[in-house]
Amino acid sequence: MHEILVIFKKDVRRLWWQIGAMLAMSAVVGCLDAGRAAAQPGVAEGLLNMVLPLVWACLVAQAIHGEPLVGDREFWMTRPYRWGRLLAAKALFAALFVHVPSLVTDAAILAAHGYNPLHALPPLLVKQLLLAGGLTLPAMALAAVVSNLTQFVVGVPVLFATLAVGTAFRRSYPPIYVFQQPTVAVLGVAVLAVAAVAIVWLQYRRRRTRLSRILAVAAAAGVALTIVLFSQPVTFPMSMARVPAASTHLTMMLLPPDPRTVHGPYSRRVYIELPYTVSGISESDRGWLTAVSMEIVGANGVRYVYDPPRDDFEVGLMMTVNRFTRLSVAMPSAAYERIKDGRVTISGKAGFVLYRLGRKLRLPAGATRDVTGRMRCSCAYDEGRYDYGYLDVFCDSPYREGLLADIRVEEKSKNWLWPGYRASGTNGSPTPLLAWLSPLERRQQSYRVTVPRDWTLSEILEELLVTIVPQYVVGRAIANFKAVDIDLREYSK
Amino acid sequence: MSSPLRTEQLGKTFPQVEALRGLTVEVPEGAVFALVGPNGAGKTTAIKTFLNLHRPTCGRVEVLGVDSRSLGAPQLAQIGYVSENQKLPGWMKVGYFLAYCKEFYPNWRDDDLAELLRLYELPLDRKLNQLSRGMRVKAALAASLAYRPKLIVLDEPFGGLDVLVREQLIESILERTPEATVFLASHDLSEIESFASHIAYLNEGRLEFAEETAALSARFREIQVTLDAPAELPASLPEEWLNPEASGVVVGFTHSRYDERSQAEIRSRFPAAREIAARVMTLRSIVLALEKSAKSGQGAR
Repeated sequence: MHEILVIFKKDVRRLWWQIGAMLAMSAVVGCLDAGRAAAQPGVAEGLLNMVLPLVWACLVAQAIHGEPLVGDREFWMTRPYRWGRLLAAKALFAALFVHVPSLVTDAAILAAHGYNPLHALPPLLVKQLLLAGGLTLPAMALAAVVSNLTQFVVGVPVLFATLAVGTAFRRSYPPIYVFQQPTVAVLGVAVLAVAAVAIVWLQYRRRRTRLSRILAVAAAAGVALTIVLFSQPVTFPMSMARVPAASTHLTMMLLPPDPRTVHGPYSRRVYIELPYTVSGISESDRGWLTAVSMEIVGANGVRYVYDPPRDDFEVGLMMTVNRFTRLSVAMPSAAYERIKDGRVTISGKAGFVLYRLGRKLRLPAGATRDVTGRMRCSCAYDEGRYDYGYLDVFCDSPYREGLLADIRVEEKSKNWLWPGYRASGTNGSPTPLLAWLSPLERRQQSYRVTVPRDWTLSEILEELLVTIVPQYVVGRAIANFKAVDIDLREYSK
Repeated sequence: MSSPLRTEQLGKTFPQVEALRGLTVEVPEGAVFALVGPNGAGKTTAIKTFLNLHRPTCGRVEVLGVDSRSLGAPQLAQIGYVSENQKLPGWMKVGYFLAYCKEFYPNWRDDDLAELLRLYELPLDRKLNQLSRGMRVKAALAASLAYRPKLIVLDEPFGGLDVLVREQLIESILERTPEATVFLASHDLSEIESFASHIAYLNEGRLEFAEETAALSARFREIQVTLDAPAELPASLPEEWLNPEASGVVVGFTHSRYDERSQAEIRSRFPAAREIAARVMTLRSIVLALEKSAKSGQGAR
């Protein structure tokens, strides 16, 4: 332990001002997040969310480079360092100057938002695990196979570019967004973490730089492959595995076409809108369509398979039963042309997450309510810059699934439901506009409010009824469906 | 333990370069063993392989009784290594550097360090990267001698230093660690001549010889034969006669196996010899003769 502390103290002495800058940056991120009551962060917070992980990575790399593992001229290599203790000193540094500040900042943010951090410990610890697997360990591994910070900083984008190239084969949207898919991200992080541990072990135990570098490249390719290959068919069962199986047996049937929903082709894709109905879900429950696997067989024997789908946006996902009950299938125009002339058979299976509705809660304007013990919501009027304002309903939760709720605004007298737009602020996408480091999942729905001539603002706010119905996941179920003798042209334009 | 450092058919190959070829050497305990040879002969590679900075391609090295590939903290705590191209942590002040090193050595002696600091006149409050090359070597030496290592490995440590500093450092090594074995690689023969007890000569990765300095000096002589009349060199000469040259009535060569019978043998080869002079050679001239011989393809024996 003595040797570990000696090396650790030496690293702190060398990097004291970088540590200070990082802690100041963490504090600023914490303050901005703690004071935010909106789904989207400001530009400063968004940028700091981008920069802080890079600062952490560079700090870890600099600590590793206190005793560089590459080369044969380093002073320490002929001194009686024990590799295990040297590695432990570096791990201690990363833990104390990446994970502890992150955890403390998260706890402070939660406390500022009215949550007891101890009650939210599981998601906080899971985040630290992901941070270790996705950032600290890869940073340690990369630093262990390069000889200085410049090479390290060059290596980070190279690693990212490798991932981007790998994912570009599959995604039509920027590859950075792939991390919005939590299960794939967790898989990718797991691959990265295992490879990073192997590299770190190899370098500290044996200093096998060439082999470690090969492993690093293989790991980057492995993560890209994970993201490309392990898409919905694998991640759906894995995601669903977290939800207990429901005893409910669902039956899903495709319905006749609804001309109101059919629209024309876009970007060399033809949209086939398939209305459906699901039975077997009890009155008190709702179903949330989460994944679809589908096959369309033409009269001429041509098959079109959606397993795995080529793009997550090709099948309309996240649609609630009884509200938007249709599958929106974006089919490449070429495939559609081959199959459209003749009757087809459509078959497949759909995965549902079933949830139960909680007690309805009324939320007056200007109030904040603890909705489920795991979610807090507030309602506020924002005047805006024009002749209308917005009624913002804002909810946050330390848990991703804690935000499941049906939020509605209606006029009491007319019993008329207002349309709102949703500004999500969930974590997971490292863009300047999203606070992916935040320990809070956020959701915001805004409703445009124009005050009529004979009304006052308080009167109109009094007239509006904001209700929140929390939803609790109760299980999962898979429904098979099959429809024969279908004319695809009736379901598309 | 009779030999703190021994190698057996040690080979090290880099892509397209065979740096060491079958190096077999045994350094006696307490010796000051100098590995000499021209630049690029493989001296630094040999030392880095001894210290597990490089892995041998073939053969093996045993350092303090342990295979070099298994060299760990217990052995490194008994080895002092100073190299001309070693990267020191330049951000550290000398005082902190020495205090930091101390934590790794159970045998660290503060009184020895105080003596070394006084001798070397090291500025404790200066950063290592602000020191002159000589001062940096002194700092590295102080950090390598204060724990009285059993084996001191020096790789061209004194290159570029002035004679006075060099003498001071050599003296300090020998005085501070009288029981240590010193292994020194150098291409500067004048710096080792005065104190090396053993000499090994490495050329293009191959060990040409390794023996005690006294024995080496005893067997090498610069021979000058003066003849009655100009004559050409005989067609075949003994292989231990290096770099033979004839100039008028004078024939000269380096005898690499000179003993009491050599005069008679020379006279038998040159019956018309009027005078045979055998001069004692310096280490520098011996090595120069060997290098010249090696270049001419005659070999260095």
